[in-house]
Parts: sequence; C-alpha cells; structure tokens
Amino acid sequence: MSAMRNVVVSRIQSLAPGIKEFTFVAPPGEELSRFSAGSHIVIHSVLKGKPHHNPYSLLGSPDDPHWRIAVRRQEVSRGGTAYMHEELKEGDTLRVSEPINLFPLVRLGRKYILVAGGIGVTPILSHAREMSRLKMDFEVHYAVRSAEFLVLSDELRALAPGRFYTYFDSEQERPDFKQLFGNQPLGTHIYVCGPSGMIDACLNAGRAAGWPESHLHSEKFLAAEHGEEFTVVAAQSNVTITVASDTSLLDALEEAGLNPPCLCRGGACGQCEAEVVSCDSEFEHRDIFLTDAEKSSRKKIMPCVSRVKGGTLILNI
Amino acid sequence: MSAYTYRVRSQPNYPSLKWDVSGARHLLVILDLDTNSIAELCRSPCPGPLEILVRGEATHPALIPFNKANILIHSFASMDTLIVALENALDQTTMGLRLYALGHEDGLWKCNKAGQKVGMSRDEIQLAQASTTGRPVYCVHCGHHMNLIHTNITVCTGCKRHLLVRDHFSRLLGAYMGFQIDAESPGLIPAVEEVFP
Ligand code: FES
Ligand SMILES: [Zn+2]
Repeated sequence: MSAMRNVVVSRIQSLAPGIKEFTFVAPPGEELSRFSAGSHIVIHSVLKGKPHHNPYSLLGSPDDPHWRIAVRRQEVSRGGTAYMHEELKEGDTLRVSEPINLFPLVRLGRKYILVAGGIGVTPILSHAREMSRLKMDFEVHYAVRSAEFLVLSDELRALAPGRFYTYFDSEQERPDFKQLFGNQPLGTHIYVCGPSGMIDACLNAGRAAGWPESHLHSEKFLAAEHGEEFTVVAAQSNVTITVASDTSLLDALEEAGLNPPCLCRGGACGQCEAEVVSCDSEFEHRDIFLTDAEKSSRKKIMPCVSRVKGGTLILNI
Repeated sequence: MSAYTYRVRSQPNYPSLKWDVSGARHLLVILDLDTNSIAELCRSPCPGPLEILVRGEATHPALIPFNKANILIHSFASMDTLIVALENALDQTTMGLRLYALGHEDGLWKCNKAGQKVGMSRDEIQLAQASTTGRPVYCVHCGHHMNLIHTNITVCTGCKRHLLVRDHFSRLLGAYMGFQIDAESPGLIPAVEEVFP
C-alpha cells in the first residue's frame, strides 16, 4: 500500500445531479504534498462496516494548498461513491493515499488533443491546466449526457479559449473521432478519459488512422465488480478466506490481516499482481495490466479488480 | 516496444527494415543505394501509400522494385538537400506516417533527428544500416564531428589529437565518442586498423 495520510474536508459543492466536488486541506500544522498533472489519490472509506478504496483524479492546480476531486455517485460498483455523497460532511477527516500518477504528460509532443467523457473530465482538467501553463498547443473535447452534466466547463473554457468543444448525447452529438484523428500534424498526442466504450472507440479510431501506440494515452479507472462468492487460500501465510460476492479479493485479503502490495487499486499499475498456485473455477480478469496471454495462462491475477467465479483459488502469497 | 535494442556500451543495433502495417502512409529515405537491403525490404509489398527520398539517381537499378505508377521517388544530389526536403515533408504531413531510413549511420541519425524535431516517437521511425559501417565520431575534446570513420583510431580534423573511436554511442549527438588515445603517454599510438568497413 502506498503512503497514507489524513485530510480534512473543507468544502463540498454540488456540481450537477449526482456529481459533487470535494476540497481537502491538510490537518492543522501539516501541509499537502505537491502533485503532477494526471495524478490521483485513493480514498479509504467504510460504509455499513465494509471498507472501500476508490481512486479519484486530482483536478486542481498543483500550486493550490488544497486538493480537489469530483465524484459521481455510482449505484452498484463503487460503494465508496455512496459514502462520499451521503455520509461525508464538511469538517470530517478522511484517510487517503498520497498522490500517484499513472497518466503523466509526455512533453515532447507538438500538439495535444484532450478528450473527456462525463466524470472522466477530472484528469483532463489537470492536464489542460498544465498545458496552458507550459503554453503548449492543445484543444479539449468534452462529451456529456446533457447540458446539466457539463461540470467544470468554465475552468476548461478559460484554459483553452476558442479550443474547447462540447458534445451533448441528448442532442445526438458525439465527437467525430475519425475526423479528429485524420488530420493532425506529426507529433500530436491524444489523452482520453471517460467510459470504456468511449475510450475504445477513440483508441480504435486512432489506430485505424495509423497512429502509433506511443501517441495514444488513456485512463480508465476500473472498479472491482461484484461476482460470486469464492474461497481464497493464501498458501504462504496458510490462511483461508471467504470472499463475499460484494467484496473485492484485495479487500478480503486486507481484512484478513494480510498486507499485499497495491497502488492504484484500479487494475492499471501492476503492483498487486499475485501468483496463482491453482484454481478450480473460471477467472474473471478485469484489469488492463496483464496481457491476454497472461490472463489465459491462469497463473496470475490482479486482486484489486479481478476475481474467480466460485470455487477455490490458491495464491502464492 | 522500441525499434532499437541496446548492445553493450549503448551501441545501437539496427534490425533490417520491415513495413509497419500499423502505419497509414510510409516515407522511405535511401541515403545509400544498397541493392540487397532494398531487395529484402521489397520482398513484401508496402502496406500503404509510399514516397521515397533518395540520395542519388532515381534511375539507379537498385530502385527497380519501386518502379510502380503509385510510388513517388524524389532524388537528391547531396545529403544536405535531402535532409532539408525531409524536414519540410515531415513538417507538412499528418499523423499516421512511418519513417524508414536506410544507409550509413551518420545519415540515419540525421533522419532520426528530423523526426524527433516534429515530435515523432521511436515507434514511428526505423533506421537500418547499409552499405558501410563507417562511423560518425564526436571528439570529446574539441566538439568536432567527423563522418565515415573506418578505423579504430583517427586523427581529429578539429584539434589534431589521435582519438580512439569508442563503442559508446550518443543518440543525442548521433555519433560515437572519440577520446584522445595517448593522453597518458604522449606519442604512444597503437596500430591503426580498419575495423568499420
Ligand atoms: S493495485 Fe494497481 S493493478 Fe492492482
Ligand atoms: Zn578534436
């Protein structure tokens, strides 16, 4: 687990139906560390006796003495968002990780295209701020369900005057990725964050237009989805645990007092990779770290987002 | 994935050119007309529109495999005019291009630099050594650049020191480092051998 610290909720603001912005400050006498554009923190919360760990992008400026995040309430998959929306109050203290950056900015490009879908706007805003500060050539494309969900747009418009484009699903508007990729100068990079379907559509259009992987950047936070209950045996520690259908494998290991390594808790960084000794059921790999070959080898699993469909999983931990 | 792998002492390793099917358009720079390398590349057809910049005659027999109506060949008399044309072409074109360069090492790294200047990444550029292994050398004492050095020891045309041509290659300078060989015992120069034909 990466370094943890306490923060105090200094402000909660409603941005749109189901979307709130939270501002955190350091407890008295402490200071928050600086972060780079694209960083996120992991918030630890307990709702109805169940621990949750959710990653959120920092959307503020690294120069601010506070940290800002925006949270969309998600019903099923991310219990932590319900906690943020319903339980948390101004003045409360929260346990969070120090900032981690898995979506850093490549500075060698000639031009940048930022694409945000819905709440995926948060890391895009921090990149836009950094690019504006460095006087880089960039434009922003922001797609939302309808006008009322267009959050943080004033800040974006101010950072990219004349180069800020919005798309409303309700009006049948959508970014035309084919056109967007078709006519950009060499040295252009694209950064996309949003729902999986949009990220896939965007990256596939880029590949079809001949863009190399090194110029396609995406960030997808995965949530540990629910599934069937199963049994996990930690062979080295000789512990047997039942993983409930609404608990992630990583959370279950931690609850049992094991301390497996992890960083992003979103299936992206590779820190939590665990070696499988045996498994008598099917794997549900949900990470974006392991290769397809590794996934089908049944030898590795990323406990933060992946699980198995019942039965017993024996891990070499 | 990077196109080059490092051998000991940062010496670049040049795999032979292969059309990159992920690219939408292709630009081939032929710095030295090496018949075998061109024939090898042409064993598979180019997967998309192709343009060629060549130093030398467009009618050279090595270019016969490219004699097709849809392939544009531009020929240049000197390296300098070719590099200027390359820089202009890269500046004007759009994403989706793959750059391939074939020839002596000094020219390869000039092409690489032209690509980097417009923000191209390693996975968009392939470099393949052909016709000679003569090295570009950078004198670490006076900063002079020399090209096509075929021997293990050479005299710097800038400062006249005897330089040992090392395997240490700088991507930034596009050259191998040359160090004075008789710094400790002046005048003691080992035998000069042709090692980079
Ligand atoms: S903690 Fe990052 S992949 Fe699991
Ligand atoms: Zn010299």
